[in-house]
Amino acid sequence: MSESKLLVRGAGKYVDDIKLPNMLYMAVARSPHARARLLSVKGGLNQNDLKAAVGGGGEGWGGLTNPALAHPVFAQDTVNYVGQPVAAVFADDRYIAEDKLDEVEAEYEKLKPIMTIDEALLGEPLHAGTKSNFIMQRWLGTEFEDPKSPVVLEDEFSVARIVNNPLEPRGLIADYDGSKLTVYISTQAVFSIKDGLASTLKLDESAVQVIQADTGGAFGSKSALYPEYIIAAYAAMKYKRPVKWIESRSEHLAASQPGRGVRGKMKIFADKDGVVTGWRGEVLVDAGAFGGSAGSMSPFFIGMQLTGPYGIEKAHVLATAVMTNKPPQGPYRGAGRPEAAFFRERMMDLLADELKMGADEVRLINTTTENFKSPLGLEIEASRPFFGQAVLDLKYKEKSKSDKAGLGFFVLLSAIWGGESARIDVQSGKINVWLGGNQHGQEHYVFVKKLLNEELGIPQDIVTLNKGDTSMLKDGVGSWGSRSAVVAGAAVVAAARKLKKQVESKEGKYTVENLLRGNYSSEVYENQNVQLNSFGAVLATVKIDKFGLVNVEECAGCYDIGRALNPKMIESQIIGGTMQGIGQVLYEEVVYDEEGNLLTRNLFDAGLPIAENMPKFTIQIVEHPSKMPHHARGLGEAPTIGVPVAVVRAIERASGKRIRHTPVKPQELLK
Amino acid sequence: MEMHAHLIVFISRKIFLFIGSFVMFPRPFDYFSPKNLAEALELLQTLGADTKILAGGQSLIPALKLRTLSPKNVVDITGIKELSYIRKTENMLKIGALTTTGAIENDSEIAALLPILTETASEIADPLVRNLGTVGGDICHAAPANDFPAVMVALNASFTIASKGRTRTVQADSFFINKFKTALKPDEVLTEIQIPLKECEVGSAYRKVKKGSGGFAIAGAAAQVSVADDNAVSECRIAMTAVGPKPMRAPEAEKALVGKNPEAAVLNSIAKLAVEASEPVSDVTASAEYRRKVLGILVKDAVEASYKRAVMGCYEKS
Amino acid sequence: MKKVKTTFKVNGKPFELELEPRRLLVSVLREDLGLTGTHNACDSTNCGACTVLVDGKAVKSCTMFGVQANGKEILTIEGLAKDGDLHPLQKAFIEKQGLQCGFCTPGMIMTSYWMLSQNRDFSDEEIKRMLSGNLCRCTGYYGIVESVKYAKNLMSKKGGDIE
Repeated sequence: MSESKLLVRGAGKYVDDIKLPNMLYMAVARSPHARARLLSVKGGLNQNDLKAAVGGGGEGWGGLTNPALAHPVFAQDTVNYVGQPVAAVFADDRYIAEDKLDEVEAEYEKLKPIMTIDEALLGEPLHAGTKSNFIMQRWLGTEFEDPKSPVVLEDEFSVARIVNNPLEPRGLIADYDGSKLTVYISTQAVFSIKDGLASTLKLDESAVQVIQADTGGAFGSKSALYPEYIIAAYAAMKYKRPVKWIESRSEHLAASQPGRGVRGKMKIFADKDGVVTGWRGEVLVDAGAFGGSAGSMSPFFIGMQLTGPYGIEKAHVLATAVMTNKPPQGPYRGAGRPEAAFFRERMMDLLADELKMGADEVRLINTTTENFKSPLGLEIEASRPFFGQAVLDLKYKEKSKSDKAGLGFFVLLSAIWGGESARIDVQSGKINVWLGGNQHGQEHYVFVKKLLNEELGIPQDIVTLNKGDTSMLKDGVGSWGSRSAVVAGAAVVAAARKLKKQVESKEGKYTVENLLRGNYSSEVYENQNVQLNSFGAVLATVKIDKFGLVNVEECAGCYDIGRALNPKMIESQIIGGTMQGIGQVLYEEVVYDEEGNLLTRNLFDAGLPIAENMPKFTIQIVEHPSKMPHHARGLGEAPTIGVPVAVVRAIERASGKRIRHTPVKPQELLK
Repeated sequence: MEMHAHLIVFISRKIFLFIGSFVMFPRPFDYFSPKNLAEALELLQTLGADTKILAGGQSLIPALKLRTLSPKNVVDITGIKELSYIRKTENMLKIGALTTTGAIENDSEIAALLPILTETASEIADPLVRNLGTVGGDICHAAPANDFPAVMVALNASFTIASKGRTRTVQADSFFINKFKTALKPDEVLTEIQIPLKECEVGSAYRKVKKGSGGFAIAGAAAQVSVADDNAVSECRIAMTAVGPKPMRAPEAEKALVGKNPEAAVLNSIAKLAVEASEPVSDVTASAEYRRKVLGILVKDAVEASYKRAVMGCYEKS
Repeated sequence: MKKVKTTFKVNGKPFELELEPRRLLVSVLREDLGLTGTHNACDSTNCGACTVLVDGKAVKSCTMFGVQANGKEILTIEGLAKDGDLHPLQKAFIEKQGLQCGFCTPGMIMTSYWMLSQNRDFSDEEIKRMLSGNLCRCTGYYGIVESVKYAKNLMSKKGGDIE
């Protein structure tokens, strides 16, 4: 990814900035209906040309157990979400490609769509060859007898679907020279794309090279394989011309893979002092129309995190994903972590109100003084030290009195499983680095340069972090799930130490001069099989005006990031994530009507926050070193986990109304 | 920018419904850029009905990009510089139809004479859109959520309309017929807006509630209040945005204010009457019920602010 | 559809092109002139990633036709740096973390350039208001506002207003 000094000149090279000779532009004809029989389709490439299913890989892949639930590349005989690709047309120019969409003729017989979790639970199966709309259902934790606790509280919550909406839309260029498929793509994970394309198109892995173009944000939307990527690659191979596809914003809003869309039912038992003695829960995920997406594993992932930073010893949770006539659920910054925190912290606030305890007191009494493994599977270090201090640093008691502040505690579970790979080449006195996961705004080059300087004494200005390219590494994972500083950082350290050994073995002794005078290459793949979690706490205050409009006045957070490798970026990430958290609570959702028509069709409807929505920010970085060689912990998703919790509680206190869902509409807050 | 009356055609057989399109570039059209008004009017006569006028383009071009409109001809009138002006006469403010929203927002004379126009302009869309969008375009596009229509109705403005060989004047009250439909005929162009000016004893204000980026009104209320020597209201005009297919008057509310001072109880009852005169619909941005609730508050705010301006010294209205 | 001869200047250079009227200015800049710094990121005139200056005023180039540029002077992000030296706004955005992924950045900088060209003071609230037509998803806007203030500072120290 180009560094900032190029991006400020407009000299970035995003996918749409790349022009290959003889290039074709692709436009996709899409279903206008949420559910219908596709009686016939004529024009462009369509189901008659390519019968294939979207294959797996990347953060957005949840595993597909039943082939009947596979997401077809072109709709096959049925359509199951508004915007589902039905055909694709090609032209020398993007304007003409859109004109050619008029040539596609499709005949539909509308069917009654399933648009809610309740309809999915009760209604007929969407797909032939299945008995229900369940994608998965499993228990976490262990059954337990009702504890003899005097306090029993139950409540139900929902978090609406949100579209990721990075500023740069999805896009790629596929180029086939007769034996090799080269893909330039806006992505978080070149290896996911490569694996997915190779398996779907039945190409040998060595025949596919994926290169990351500068990527204008992703937030989870650019790790998975999409039908359009496969169509473009297929067309490039068929027409023997490079094929470029760039989506429009309305396509992103309809047919990318939105996140959230989860319901939670919680029942907790607690003693009079606020100690929670048992936790029962149900997590229901609206997984969209097909299996294999994040929706297939997110219920389990959410369920696992329900106990959060608390030492709750008895817990039993049912995790369910059901299918609806919407695009498959994808990861959106947080990807289940925000939902788990929301369900849990809403209950903790309910408990605080029930016992007339402070929101901080009821939380602190449930934190742990030792490492703890939850019955649901989450492993945490002792949480009381961090949170005890956070409550003081955030000045919660004072702001609770003066401004009715909301408070949230959370755990960030970094998605470090799978680890990461790194390669370092030394040649002609210059250092070139490649990582398996691909930055898209997070300035990974800053921590790469810093770590190499620390490990090897190399001056930072001779180091280049190159763009992601599957031909430069044997394998790699991806940049998502608050993992990169942790796993890519660890891989860089490991590769650097391997390099050091190479120099020692050749020159007898390691010095920077010895390193730079030679030619070396070191590549490592560092897997990670442990959990690496970090804590965070957020405080928020709001004002509600006479129209029910909420202004978030202050958002303060304490975040434990292990080690601050890039303090300015850390602050920027926290602020950006805070605005996304505010967006979730106040403005953003995907809305369909009962007939399945998509109503949120442009950025205005999508509800992205603007500069005027900013609160006052207070950020406290805490550094409790992790066990990683470079001590880092994850960060990226932390604000989207903690902020909605605190803001919702602040709204609750300011309005006197119990809040059970996001987004919260002004109408609900009118006096 | 002006748009002639049209119906959005529901294309049933083809894959793209108006509500269902995912495109972002316009269809082809023939382009004309007349250098003066006479040339423009001549073109409108000869080109026929499948023609749209391009002014600021901030409403027309988005519709062309989504292909909800695909006219054969586009007549770009932005080259007609003489249609962009702000002029004060003894008892009239005259604004050329091509005056940009941004120019109105930043005009110090307007801020002194008619701050209602300043506050209206400054809350339309965003500063970039205001650099191109025109007051004439906002009026002639006549989308229910556009702000200037209700404001012009409240101010009892009149519009000069030109066609080849003819000019006529239409009161704002009679100009807005339905959503996206005005009294303009296919060969006509709005050229000037006239707003009656009175030095003293009249005040006006616009208040609206909008949603975030893009700033479309969820509901809006424009009011003009005139007072007699004893500061009792002698006349009131109320027009409401985004709560009906066109700017909605509230005649019962207006009558109820005459002869009174706008204290709390009076304001409450006129708000109720105004809401009863509205016809809001629910859409993805807001429910009809929410629109009604905030409309009541907005009418009170607009009337109260107008009254305050009316009883202030002459031309010290900000 | 007849092409229309369009004569205009971009970043000081004159161009004469035969343009299809329906082509948006953003497409003309990006495809016909290869100036890919201006980005096209939405379809509803919301996001401002396409912001350029036309005759000194910041506008959304996705909501203007290329043929409308006739007789006008356009300034794009590529026109800011002089002889390889970054404009103070560009330096400020780097220094004050005004960007992460960079996709909204050219639009943000061009709107800021227009702001600063008005040669008056802006409060923080006014800066935020002026940016209401430019969306960012990565930074949360704080760094952008700080960058604009810092740039104004840099420029007043140099004594240079924007031409």
